[in-house]
Amino acid sequence: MDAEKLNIKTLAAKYNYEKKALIAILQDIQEACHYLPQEVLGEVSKTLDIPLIDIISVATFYKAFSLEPKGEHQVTVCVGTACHIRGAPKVLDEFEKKLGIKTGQTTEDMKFSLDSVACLGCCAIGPVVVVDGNYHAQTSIRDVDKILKKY
Amino acid sequence: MNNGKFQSIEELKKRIETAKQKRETDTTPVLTVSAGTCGQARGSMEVIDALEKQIKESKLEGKVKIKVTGCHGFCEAEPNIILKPQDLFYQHVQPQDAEDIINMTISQEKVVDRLLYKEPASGEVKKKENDISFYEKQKRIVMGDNALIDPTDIEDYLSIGGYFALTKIFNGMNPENIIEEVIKSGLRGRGGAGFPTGKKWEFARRSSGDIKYIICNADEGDPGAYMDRSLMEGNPHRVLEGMIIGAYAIGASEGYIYIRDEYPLALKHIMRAIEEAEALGLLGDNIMGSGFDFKVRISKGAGAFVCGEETALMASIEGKIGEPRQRPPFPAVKGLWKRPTNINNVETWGNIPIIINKGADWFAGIGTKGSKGTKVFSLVGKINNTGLVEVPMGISLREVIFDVGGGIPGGKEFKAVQTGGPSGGCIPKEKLDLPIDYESLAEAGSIMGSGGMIVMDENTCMVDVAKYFLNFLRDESCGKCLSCREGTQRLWEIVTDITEGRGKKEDIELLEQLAVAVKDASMCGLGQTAANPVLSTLKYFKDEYYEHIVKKKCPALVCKEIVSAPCQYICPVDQEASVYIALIAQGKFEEAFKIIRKDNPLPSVCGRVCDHKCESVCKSGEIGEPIAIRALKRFVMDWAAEKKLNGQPPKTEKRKNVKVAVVGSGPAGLAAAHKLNLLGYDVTIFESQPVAGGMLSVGIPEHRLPKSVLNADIDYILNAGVTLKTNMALGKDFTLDDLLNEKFKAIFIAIGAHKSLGMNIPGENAESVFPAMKFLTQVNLGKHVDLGEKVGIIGGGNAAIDAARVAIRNKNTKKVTILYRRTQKEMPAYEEEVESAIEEGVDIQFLTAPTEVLTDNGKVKGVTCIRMKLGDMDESGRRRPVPIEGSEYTIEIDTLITAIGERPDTSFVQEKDNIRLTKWDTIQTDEETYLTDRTGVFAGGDVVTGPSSVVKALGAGKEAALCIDRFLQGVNPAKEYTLNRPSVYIEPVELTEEEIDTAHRPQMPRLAVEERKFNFKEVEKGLTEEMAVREARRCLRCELETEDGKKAIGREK
Amino acid sequence: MITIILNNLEVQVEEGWSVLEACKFYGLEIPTLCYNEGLSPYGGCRLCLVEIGKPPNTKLASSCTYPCEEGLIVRTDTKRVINARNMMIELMLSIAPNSKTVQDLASKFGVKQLRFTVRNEECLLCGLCVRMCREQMDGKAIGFQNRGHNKKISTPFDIRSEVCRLCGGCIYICPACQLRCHGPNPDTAVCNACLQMDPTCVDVYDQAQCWMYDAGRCGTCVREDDNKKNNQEQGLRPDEAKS
Repeated sequence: MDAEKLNIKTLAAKYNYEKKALIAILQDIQEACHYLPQEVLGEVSKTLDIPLIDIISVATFYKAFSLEPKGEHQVTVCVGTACHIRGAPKVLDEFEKKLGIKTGQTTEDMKFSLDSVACLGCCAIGPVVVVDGNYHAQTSIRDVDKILKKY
Repeated sequence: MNNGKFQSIEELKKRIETAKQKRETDTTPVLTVSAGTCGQARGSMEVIDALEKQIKESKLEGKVKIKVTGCHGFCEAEPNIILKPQDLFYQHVQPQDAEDIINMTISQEKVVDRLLYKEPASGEVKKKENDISFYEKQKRIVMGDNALIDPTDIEDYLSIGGYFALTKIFNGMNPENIIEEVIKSGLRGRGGAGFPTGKKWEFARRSSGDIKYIICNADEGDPGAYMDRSLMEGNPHRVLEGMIIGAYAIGASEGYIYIRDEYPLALKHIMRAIEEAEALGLLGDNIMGSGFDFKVRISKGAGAFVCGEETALMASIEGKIGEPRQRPPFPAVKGLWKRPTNINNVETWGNIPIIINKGADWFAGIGTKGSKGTKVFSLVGKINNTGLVEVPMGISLREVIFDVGGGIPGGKEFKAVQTGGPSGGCIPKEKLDLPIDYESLAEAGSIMGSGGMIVMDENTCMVDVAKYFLNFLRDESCGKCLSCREGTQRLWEIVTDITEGRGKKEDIELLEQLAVAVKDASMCGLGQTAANPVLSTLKYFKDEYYEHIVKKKCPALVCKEIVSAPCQYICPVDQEASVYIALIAQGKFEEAFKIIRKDNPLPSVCGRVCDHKCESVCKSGEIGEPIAIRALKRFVMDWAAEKKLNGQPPKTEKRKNVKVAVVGSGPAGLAAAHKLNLLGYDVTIFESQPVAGGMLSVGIPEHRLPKSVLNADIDYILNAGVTLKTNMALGKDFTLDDLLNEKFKAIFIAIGAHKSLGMNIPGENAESVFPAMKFLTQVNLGKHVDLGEKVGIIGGGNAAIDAARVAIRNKNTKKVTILYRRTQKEMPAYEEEVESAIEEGVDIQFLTAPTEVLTDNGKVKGVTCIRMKLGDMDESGRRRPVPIEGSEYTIEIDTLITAIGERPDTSFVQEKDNIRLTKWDTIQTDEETYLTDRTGVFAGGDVVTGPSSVVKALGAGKEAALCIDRFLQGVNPAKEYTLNRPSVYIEPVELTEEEIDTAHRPQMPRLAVEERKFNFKEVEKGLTEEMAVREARRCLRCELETEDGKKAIGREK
Repeated sequence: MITIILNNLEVQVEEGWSVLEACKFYGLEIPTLCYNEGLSPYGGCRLCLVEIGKPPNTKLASSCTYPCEEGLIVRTDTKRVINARNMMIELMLSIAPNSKTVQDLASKFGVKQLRFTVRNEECLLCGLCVRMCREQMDGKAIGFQNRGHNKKISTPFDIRSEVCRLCGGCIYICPACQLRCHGPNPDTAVCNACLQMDPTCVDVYDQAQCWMYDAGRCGTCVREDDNKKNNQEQGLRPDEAKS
């Protein structure tokens, strides 16, 4: 779904205006806009008749959502237990160093967002780094530069 | 059928029959490619493309099929292919292998050897899937079908008997029967808590209400667990079938599958499966005319671990935050939208069809009394065969880890296995024979959990593991309960302080108390189990916590803030290797020299003969080659010697006017003397030999350590004001009491370990049989030694190699043979020494041990040996050599040198001396003070530890000197522990791209073999300046990675 | 009426009562923080713990949310309860050491040590202000955000809420704020100074979410770093702005 074409009423209609579909609706907005814009959330509040504060509670509770705009490319480093034992923290450190930002932040030029995730379920190939949906297996600190250069 | 939907169970039965028939009669070979999320990440799709292309090129369309399945479970082997019907197993398949697979295996039925699986322990090659040790002990009643079907095609599922259970439940079984069957089977919840599933269903059935729900919990938030993902991706219909059965039994009309956001492929497959099932009328209204309505909807998680908890999950489905609520009322009574709800885990649902098909008794026949059936575990971490394993309950942890899992990679030692995710605990080596079932794991302080099994080895720090889980939990806690929210945060803060060297002794008690409070006071399962990682690591690994708190040490070398630069961390004399290397990199050799000198009393010696443990823990070595630290140190010392910088020792003007005696002038004695002198004490060294140096001068031959180099280092110490008295042996020329009478206020005994061990075989007292130490001492003191033409040497340590290399330089000697009872890999001697010996013509025979010395007129003429083979491990971690019966043989020799180990000569100790000895003849001292049982008498070095390294003895001498100083000042002499930090932070250099790609550890330039003949010229020539600077630039500068380091070079706020 | 066994005594209670209500009825003193009779129970502070069940299979539960059931066994001052409760108080002290409510609790239950680093955050996340706003005042202007150790209470986007009617209910009910607030003029006994000043704070700090938020006085709903951000955005005078 495209950010420009996002029509909250249409979206809500897709879910029959059901309050229980709030999370699903927010997920759709997140996918389209790469974050949850303030005005959009205000509209959702009115359309679904849910107090804005409740929507914010949900939006900030779940990690899938971001109230801040994300970068063009999403770099996610898995820090699950198996990946942790195999050296994921060093890889994450290296990304922080090379991008000049901390985990959870976005570079100033809005090119990269760096996040960590607790487990992607690919423990056999850890440490795992996902960039824009592409999985990189057995990442070492040497690979960090190579991965970033691709984008 | 109506609209394609089954109208009766007969129609379904017939369709299943037809599909089965078709499958069984189809003899076309099928290449089953494992393509779950991991498989795809490793390139399965590219392999499939390549195979398809090759099939076209080889014009074999229709003659061979490709089936894209979900995960087969053996993740380590992916991308893997199983060729049906012969069950041929190929691993690590790459797109370029497609040609061989099609042309050799399909066309000519020839096996492609390089793709076959090799057992890691024996090297045996296994062709068939079920012969592979990974699969042998498994019982894949739930996951096995993954390898048989295309998960996106319901026909394929039907062809293996899928949905047959529905024909049973709608025909002759009523909901009560079904529940009875599930209760009888003994199935317990596979999501973690292990509640009896049948009972849970019964509660929901008994609850009043027209509308009921069932939920499939596919949130699988435990890091390290992915069996649910694998089942959803690879066999989604199996889960749906289970849910339909459950819904019918309970009386639910709607079902939800709550699947986590991070599983896109599983979501795709389950959505498609639902569509397919609806299309066939297996879901929807009046299913197959039974009158039963059941619809399944999907609810996606949005990244919250706590939503794996039942009540939080339901809140999430209702569109709210995932905050658990108080139970009672239980979900079975008041669940989703306050209606009776039954929640089960994916794997639990997956077990239901087979229980209905094969019966409760069959199922109850697997497993133990209290835990029936199988469990799927994700075996990950430090393990050879990473993957998903399904084993019967009751199998031991040892079998799973070592037989199925193939043991620990790299020959490392097992340390612990973490089960149950963040709610679980770590199980140590002592409990490996535990049977895997709900009760035993709980008793051991862990839980079954969802089945995550994370294996840890000696390089895993258990305190770091506790910190890791606490960090996870403080983020994932919903935050309602103060005990969980604040508790996990504070537990994390305390454990973090411990891992960063700020731990206090009181922390352990506080952790334990807080952990109990968190466990007791929290409302939901997350909070109640949040303290488990801390409690279980404290239970089994408290020592490790103490090492961090008291000694500021991380034995596994993981905690960055404690270790800083591992080279400095591990060095017994605290040498700041990364600092002097950084200075070399910048060409600042004199500053580098000062850094070396500051901490090492015998640096030129160490630069040549140190056992450089620093290099074995070098981080550069983890991703490539370690830095040549010893060679770099030697470079600086040689440079300084040339510039005549090494001669002026510092003199301490302020004297304490207290006399201290040091007995022994080996590295331990010299280091102690040096330090004590600097502290202002008047030191006299008593040395039994005519020269100082101990093992350094009488043990190590000149071609390794030139006397000029050794003496320069020793003179530096003596010239600072230390008195040396040679030819003074303790016990012979003077006693301890004599020293005390002469007003020495403290004595440091550092007489080393120079007494050789005997072989205890007949004939060993013959002429021309002598220990290596005696031999080397004679040679080093310039005395003549008679050596025969054929010299035999028994042993595998540095003494044996030294003796061998000295012997081969003897003009009289034609052949030198070393006999060692283990293999080259196990030889304790330095690798480079062994290589040099072989280079110089020494013959080394492995796996052989002497049984008798053959003599002729009292003189040795040969030695009988017996061949050995390696058996089980002994305490040192090496495999014990075992003689092979009847394999004796003889070697002709005329000189036999024994080098099988040394012990200290502590014969000087008398009853009245009050000095305790151990059973190895070493002196018993207090670990923290170096004190013997006698007040004022200290001991250190080989005389305490047995034969060890030069640098360890140096470290002992340095530390003992500080203890003696404290003792003489009347304060507690015990060692003081400080955090490992360098004295200065040097700016790092920037490597060019070319450098990063081409930089290599340099080869030490050595004298050509020809030039070494019959002389003792130093063989290693030392690095050139160019080589040294290049190598120094390769250093990763680990000390700059701590918070202090980062601040020092301005990288952090 | 149903029967429960309260501290070994068989007593009668109304069906639907929470264990806390039953205890209060029978005069048992159970300490609470996040509980208020006029608001729905939350069960977040974990102070009102009681031990439920027949030994040795017992567990602790917050009595304010646990429903009475026929035959329920409840004990109110067991060792487990006391140890857990005291740890809760110690944790509260480390968050809001200046709150007289917490200080009183510590003193009453003998909590004499504070072994955690003090954070001085004041907000105990008891949620009384949220429930007050939502249930009593029908405002729904503030609520919980984030989760875990990052949980906080605030208005949407940390700015003045359109639906906030400035009723002051949140301040009134806050246990951390009670008996403490000193404001910029420490001599003022009654904290209403902001409304009496000329110009009033409400006029000056238009974007502030509650008129008590100023220079660190209350402002529990706005965390330290948000304070700074809002200070800068609203151009507060440096001497009034807390860094």
